[in-house]
Amino acid sequence: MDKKKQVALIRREPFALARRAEQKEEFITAVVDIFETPDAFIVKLDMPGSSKDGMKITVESGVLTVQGAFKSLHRERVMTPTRERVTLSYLREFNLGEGVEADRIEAEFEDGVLTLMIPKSDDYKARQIPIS
Amino acid sequence: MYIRFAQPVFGSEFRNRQGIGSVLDDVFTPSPREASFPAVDVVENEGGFELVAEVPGMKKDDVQISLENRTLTLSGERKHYGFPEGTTIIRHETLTDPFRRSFDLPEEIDANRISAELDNGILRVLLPKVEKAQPRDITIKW
Repeated sequence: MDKKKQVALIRREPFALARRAEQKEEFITAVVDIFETPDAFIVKLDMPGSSKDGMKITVESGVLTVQGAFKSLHRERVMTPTRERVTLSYLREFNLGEGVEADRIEAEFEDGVLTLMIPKSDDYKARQIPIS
Repeated sequence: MYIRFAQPVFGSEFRNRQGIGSVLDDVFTPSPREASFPAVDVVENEGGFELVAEVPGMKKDDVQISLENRTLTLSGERKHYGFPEGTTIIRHETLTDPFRRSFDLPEEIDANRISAELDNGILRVLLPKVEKAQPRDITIKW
């Protein structure tokens, strides 16, 4: 297989963070697992405390962007003796290469983990070639 | 009144004190992730304290909360979701090591009324103060 034709799904965040910094907004990089099955790419992002409503998933010019709002979650705060959770929104961007169907991405949010299923287009699916 | 983060008993602190670990240390000492995971916020309000911990990908059964001698311990292990067959791993950043964090609770906390809830990867432990420790308005009779 021609190497260049292989699907690229590479993290892009150094540039993304640099660009966001110019806008005076800060983000925390969500921890991610990415794996490839014969039919799809699966992306799992840890975004504890986010909710479906506060989440933004967009695809623009081949870049998949996932953003999740941070919520402090404290009821009627009087004082905070210890704060370790980072109070920034989650952000992560990915380059989508050829051969994925960006229009058919499915998302699911459970236990603070966002799962994206990015289907491969038929031309790029693994298949057995029968030997005649 | 405050909640103190207790030192991990079995963490590197302990091992360092014993000198550089023998092989036996590694065999017999559980090595939970050091006291930086999970990230925990401690908040005090009028009724008590709240511990808010980030435990993404964990279910109720993956997290244990125990109380002994006024030390509250969060421990557990994130179970891996398991890669389907024929998977190529591109990036694997999530950790599934066991973890353990302890907190020394002040006397004012009512140990019998401690409760916890887990929602969207956030574990919230509610630590109510005993009734008499709560501030109240005193009505003055004339």
